[in-house]
Amino acid sequence: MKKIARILTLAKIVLRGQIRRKDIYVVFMLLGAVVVLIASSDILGLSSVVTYVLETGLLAAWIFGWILGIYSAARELPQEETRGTIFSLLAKPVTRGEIVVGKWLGCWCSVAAAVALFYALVVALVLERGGFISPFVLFQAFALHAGALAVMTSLAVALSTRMNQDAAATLAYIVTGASFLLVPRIPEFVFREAGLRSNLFLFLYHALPHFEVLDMRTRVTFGFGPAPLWAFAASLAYAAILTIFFLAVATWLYERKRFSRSELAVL
Amino acid sequence: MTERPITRCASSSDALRFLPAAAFLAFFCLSCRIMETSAPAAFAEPRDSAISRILGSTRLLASVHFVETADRYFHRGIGHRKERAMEDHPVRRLQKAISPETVEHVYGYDMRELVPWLWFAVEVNPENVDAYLIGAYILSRQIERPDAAHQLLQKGAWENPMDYRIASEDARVYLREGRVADAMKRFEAALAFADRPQLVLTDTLKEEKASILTYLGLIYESQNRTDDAIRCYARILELFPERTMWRDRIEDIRANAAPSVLADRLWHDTLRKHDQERGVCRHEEHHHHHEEEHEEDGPHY
Repeated sequence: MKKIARILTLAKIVLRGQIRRKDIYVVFMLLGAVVVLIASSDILGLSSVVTYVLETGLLAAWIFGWILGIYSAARELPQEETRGTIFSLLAKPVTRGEIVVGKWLGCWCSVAAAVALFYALVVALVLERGGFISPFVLFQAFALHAGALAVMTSLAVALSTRMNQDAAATLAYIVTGASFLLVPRIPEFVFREAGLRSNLFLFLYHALPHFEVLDMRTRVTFGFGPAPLWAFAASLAYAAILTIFFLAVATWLYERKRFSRSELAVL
Repeated sequence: MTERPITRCASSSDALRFLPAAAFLAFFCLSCRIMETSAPAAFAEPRDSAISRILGSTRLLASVHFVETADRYFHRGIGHRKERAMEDHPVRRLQKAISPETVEHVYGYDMRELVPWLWFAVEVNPENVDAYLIGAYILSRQIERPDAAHQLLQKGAWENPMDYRIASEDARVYLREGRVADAMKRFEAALAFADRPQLVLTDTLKEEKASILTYLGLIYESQNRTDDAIRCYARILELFPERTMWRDRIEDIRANAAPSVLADRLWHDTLRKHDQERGVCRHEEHHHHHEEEHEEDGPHY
């Protein structure tokens, strides 16, 4: 119980830090302005057209969560080390594993809350234009999106235990970007390719995270109704397992990390 | 002691000092003039769109992407069927449950959702004529908004003033509305654009010319302008001598006999046939579901 309390305290501190910083607001306003601009365009007097607003809005929400999630998660641990505040943190009755989980939890909650606000903005725009979104489908889509954010942030935290902020963020962007763009198309490539290339694609398919099972945008945008409950539960479980795996790796790596003041001074 | 003049005429050495600057200015003006006149039309920047100026040449790719997005919307966000491996893999099964992959089409009023992407396509590349044509077809035929179709085609005509396809489509929209006089004017304009000597007579152009001449001939015939109608039908025969029905029709008109099908009936049938041809979606995925090819009410991609 005390362990959880300590993790929550750390998460709360991270959350407050995120609110104090301006990057969430800047990204929110930039992407929000793009969506509002697109939604406000009068196209040949067809005021009831909403699908493109919904699709663009949800895409912006994913981009928003992706940029912010990785950037903020990759920053937390290296920043503590650069400032030297990690020593005062470790001097307190808190384990390194708790620090890792607390930092991740704070980042994930702040990004998920910001993405929820973005969803609210998109839904408001759609309703204002006379559109309709099923609340249950929207809930499913957001829950899976939050699961994807949990995976992304935990991966960034894991990388940041052994890299500086920029390197961890860049590598996390590359891995998650490839997972978004490449992995869903690998079955097509495997169908066409053979031999070594096919094996390479199969390796990537099994090695990279599958964000496509957490992405319900098509279902929401084109009105396909809710996802089957077994699929919804399985996708959430997949996200939870992947997050726990990355956090376990992060804890294992961080517990074996040696800090020395002279090295930190160079940073 | 001699006084120095307050002002003096510029000597030849002073004039020479300005010569390089004057030469530079002259060459600069000349090069600007040469570049302006020799730039190929295909690479010329569009006239005044701020979006186009920001995007540069990538606007061409963006425009194609927007038309493809409209196509994806026609297939209800799924796109065309693709062959994939590992269909029984647990992740693939989960993916299919989360994001449906069954190909469906949207119909009628729902097709209005395609229009924004076609509008964006012509905004970023005003020379994308196909986007105007598909958009006008959806607006006039699917969602009964001929006014919006004319607005879109007017924009297309402004950006591509000599394009026969835009004028011809505009005429068809008028014809669907029953505005025969306006349709006739636009078909006449389309024929004049299609007859320009700069155009190479491809199979597509021949077909389009024959189509314009068909509508125009039938409209003339309905207005008792028999000489003009005969001229149109004769031109169709020049393009396609095997279409003998026009020879029979010419003979009927000359013999003052009543034609087997009245002109207005025939142009309505032709219009409907034309719409059906454009509405067919002949993609691979449909052959998996249906034994025979079928016609669907949608734009022809």
